Amino acid sequence: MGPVLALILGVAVVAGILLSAFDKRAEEAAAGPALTQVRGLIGSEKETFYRDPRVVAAFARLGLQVDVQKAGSREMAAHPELKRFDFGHPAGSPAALQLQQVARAQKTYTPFFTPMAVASWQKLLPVLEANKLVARRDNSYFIIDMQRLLGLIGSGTRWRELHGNTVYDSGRAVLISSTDVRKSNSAAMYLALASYVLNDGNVVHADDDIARLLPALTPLFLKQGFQEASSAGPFDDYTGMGMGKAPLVMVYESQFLEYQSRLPQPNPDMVLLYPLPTVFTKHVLVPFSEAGSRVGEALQHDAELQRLAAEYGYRGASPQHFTAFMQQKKLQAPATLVDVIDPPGFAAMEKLIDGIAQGLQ
Amino acid sequence: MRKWLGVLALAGVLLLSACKDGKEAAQEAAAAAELTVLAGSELKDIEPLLPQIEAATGIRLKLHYAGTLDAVERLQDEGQAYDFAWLASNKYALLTPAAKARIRASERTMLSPVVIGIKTSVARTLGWADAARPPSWADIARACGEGRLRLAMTSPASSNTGFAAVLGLASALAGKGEALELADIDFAAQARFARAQTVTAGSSGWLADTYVREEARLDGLVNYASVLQALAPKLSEPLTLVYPKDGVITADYPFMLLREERRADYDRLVAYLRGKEFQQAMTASTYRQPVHPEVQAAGSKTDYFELAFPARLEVIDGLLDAYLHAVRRPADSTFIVDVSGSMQGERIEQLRKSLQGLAGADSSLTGRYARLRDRERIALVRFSDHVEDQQVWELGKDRQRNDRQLQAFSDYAGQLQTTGGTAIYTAAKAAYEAALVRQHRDPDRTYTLLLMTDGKNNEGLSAKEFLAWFAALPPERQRIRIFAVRYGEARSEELDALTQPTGGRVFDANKHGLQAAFKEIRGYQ
Repeated sequence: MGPVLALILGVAVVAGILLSAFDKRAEEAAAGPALTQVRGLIGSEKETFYRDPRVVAAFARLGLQVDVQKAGSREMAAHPELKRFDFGHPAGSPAALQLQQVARAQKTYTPFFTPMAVASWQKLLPVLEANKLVARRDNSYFIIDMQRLLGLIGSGTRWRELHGNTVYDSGRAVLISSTDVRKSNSAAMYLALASYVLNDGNVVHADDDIARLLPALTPLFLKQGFQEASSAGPFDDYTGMGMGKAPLVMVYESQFLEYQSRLPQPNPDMVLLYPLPTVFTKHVLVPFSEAGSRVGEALQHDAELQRLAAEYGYRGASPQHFTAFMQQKKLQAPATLVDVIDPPGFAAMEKLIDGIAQGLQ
Repeated sequence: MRKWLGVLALAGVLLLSACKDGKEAAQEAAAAAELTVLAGSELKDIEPLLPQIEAATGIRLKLHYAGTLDAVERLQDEGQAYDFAWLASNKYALLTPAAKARIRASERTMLSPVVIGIKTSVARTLGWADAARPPSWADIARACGEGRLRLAMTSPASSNTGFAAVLGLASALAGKGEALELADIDFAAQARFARAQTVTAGSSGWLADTYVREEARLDGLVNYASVLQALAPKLSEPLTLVYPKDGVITADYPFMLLREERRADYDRLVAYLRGKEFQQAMTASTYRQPVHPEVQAAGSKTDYFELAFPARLEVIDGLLDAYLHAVRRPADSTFIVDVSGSMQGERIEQLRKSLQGLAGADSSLTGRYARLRDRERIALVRFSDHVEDQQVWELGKDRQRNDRQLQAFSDYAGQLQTTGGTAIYTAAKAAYEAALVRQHRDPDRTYTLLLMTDGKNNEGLSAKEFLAWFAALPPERQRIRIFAVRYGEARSEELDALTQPTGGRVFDANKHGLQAAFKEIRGYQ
C-alpha cells in the first residue's frame, strides 16, 4: 500500500467515525431521552397486556421500557434469578405477599383486579339450571352456587347422572378444571373459595380446620389428573378443545372477557358463571428496585394505562373504564359483585396448598 | 511507519464498516443461523412449512426427530443441545422432573385427537358407523377380544398414538370418570384389546405407510385423526373415524423453549405459529385442528369427550410395564448378528453392549422400555460366512427364572467373537426357516427377524436366490417381517432387498449408534 493511499484512507476513517457519531446523536435526539430499561417477571395471564404496543407506548411516554418474562405466579418467589428483575407482577395477593417477603419490598401496588369465574357453555345452561346450580341475575349474568356444586363434586356425581341432562352424555365426574394448585394462583383462588364454602362460610385459618377440610379439598384437584402450571393451559383447553374437554373451568373473569372482546363477534356458545360467593384476584405489583416502583406508579395512576387494562378485562381503581369497555364490546358483566370473600391468610393458604400437594404426590 | 499507517487505516475501515452495518449484519447472521428443534417424528409434515416460518420470523428451524420416550430422555440428558422442542405431547416430560427442569416455556400450537380408523364396511358390521352413536372403549375391547378386529397400532412405549389408545382404554374402563390411578387399571380388558394388534411399530408414520401397503389383511389402525384424514386418498376402502364415546386423548403439539437465551426468538416463533397465517396453512396441509379461534379446521371436526391424563408418572409407567410384560401379544424376536472379521474391535464390543443392554444392563428411560419382556422368546443367530450358531431363550412370567435366562443371554452375548466372511442371505434364510417352525407350533405371537450387519454379502446365497426362495413361500408363511440394522460399511440396497419384500425396514446405526438402533427396533418387535 502506498503512503498516499494510506493517508487518504486514514482521513476517510476519521471523517467516517465523526459522521457516524453525529448520526447516532441525531437518532437519539429524534427518539427523545433514553428509556429506562425495566425487567419484570409476570403471571402469564398479563403477557398480552404488557406486550400490547399501546401499553409499550404509554410506558415509553413515561420514560420506561418494560421487558417481561412469564412465570407461574406461585413459582415467582422461588425463581432462581429473581435478582435479574426489577419487579414481579403475580396474580393474587397470597403470591404477592410471599414475593414481597422474599424481595423485602416496602411498598406494593394494586393497579387492577379481577374476580374468579367459571367458564362454561350455553348448551349446558339448561341442565345446570335444572339442577339448581346456576341462576340468572339481573337478567344479564349468571351465578353458580358453589355450595351445591362442591356438594355434587364431593359425592362423585357424574354428568350423566345430572337431572334432565340430554346434552352432555358423559360418564365423566362433575369437576371444575383448574391449574396446578402448587404452582398457579388461579387454582389457589379456587382452593380459597372451596375452603371457605366447605368451612360453612368462614375464612380458614386454624390448623384444626385445615386438617379437617383437606380430605374434602384434595379430591377437587386430584381427580382432575394432570394439570398445567399456568392459567393459560385450562383456558386453552376451553377455547381450543371445547365442551368435551372443558365443561367447567375456573378462570379469571378478565381472561374470558379479553378473549371474547378480541373476536370479531363474541362467541355466543361461551358463558361466564360468577361463583357465589366469589373471590378477587388482585394483580399486585411487587417492586424490587426504584425502576420497578416507577412501573407500579404508572400502572396505578396513569389514566391511559388504566384504560388499556380495562381492554384486557381488568377492573381498575374506578369502574368507569371497565363499564365503558363492556358496553363498547357488547359484553355482559356485573358492574359490582356482592358476596366477595377474602382468601385465607398467607400462612393458612400455604398449609392448605402443602396439604393438597402431599395428596398429589 | 508507512506499513504501520496502512495497517491502522485498514483496521479503521474494517471497524467503520462494522459499526455502520452492525445491526444489519447481526440480523443477517441471525437469519442465516439455524436454530435447532428436538421434534416428535409426527412433525415431519411441518417440514414443508419451515420456509414460510423463516420468511415470517427470520428464523430458520432445523428439526431433529425423536420418538416419544426418546425425546423425554434427550430432554433430560441433553436438553441444552437444542434451542426448542416441539412434540405431540409434553405431559410425560412434565411428569419427569429432570426433563421438566429443561422446559422454560411451553405453548400449544395445534390439536389432533388419537382415534381408531376402521374400514367403513367393518364399522357397519359392528354397528359403529353412525358418528352420533359411537362405541364405548368397552365395546371396542369386546370386539377385539372376540377376534373381530385386526388393527395396526404403534407400541405404546415408543409412540404417542399407541400410548394414547392404551391410556384411553384404561381410563375409560376404570369407569370413575376421573383421572386414572394404578389400582383402577382393568388388565383383562387391556388384554382383550391387545388381541387386535396385528401390526406393531415404533412410529405412527411408518404404521400409516404399512397400513396402506397391507390394507387388505387389516381392518383399521390407531392414529391421529389428522393422519387418518390425510390417508384417505391412498386407500382402496374408506375409513370411519371412531371416537370412542367415553373420550379420547388429544395431542396438543406444545412448542417449548429450552435455552433461555433464545427467549426473544421463541416469543416471535410462538406468536407466528399461533397466528392466523400459520394456523391456516397448517390445518390445510396437515388436517390438524387450529388453536386460533378465527381459523376453520380443514377436514371434518367431530365433537368428542376428552379423557383426563394421569397426574402421576407411576400410573403411566405401570400401564406401560403391564402392556409390554403382561398384556400384549408375546413376541418371538430373532436377532441375526454379523460376527464376521470386519466386526472386530470396537464394533463387536458395541454389539455385545447393545444385546446386554436389552437384557437389562441399560438403565436409561429408553433402555428400560426396550428390555426383553416377560413371555418373550428370543432367538440369537450368529453368522459369518455361514451360520455359526442358533440359540433360543424363553422368558415366562416367573421373574426369577427370567433373570436366569437373561443372564444366560447376556453371558452368551458377552462372548461373541469375530471370524470369517459375511453371508447375509444364507443367515436370513436359516433364521426365517427356524422362525417358521416355531410359528407353526405357536402361532399366537408377533414374529420378527432383525438382521444386523456391517458388511456386504460375499458368501452363500445371493440376494436374487434369497428373494426367489422367499417368493416361493406360501403367502401365509410370508408374514414374518425382516428388519435390518445397517452398521459400518453395510450396503443400503442389499438391506432394502432383504427387508422390503417382507414389509420390514432398515435402521441406520451409523447415525446414533448401534445401541440406539437396537432400542428403536424394539417398538417393531
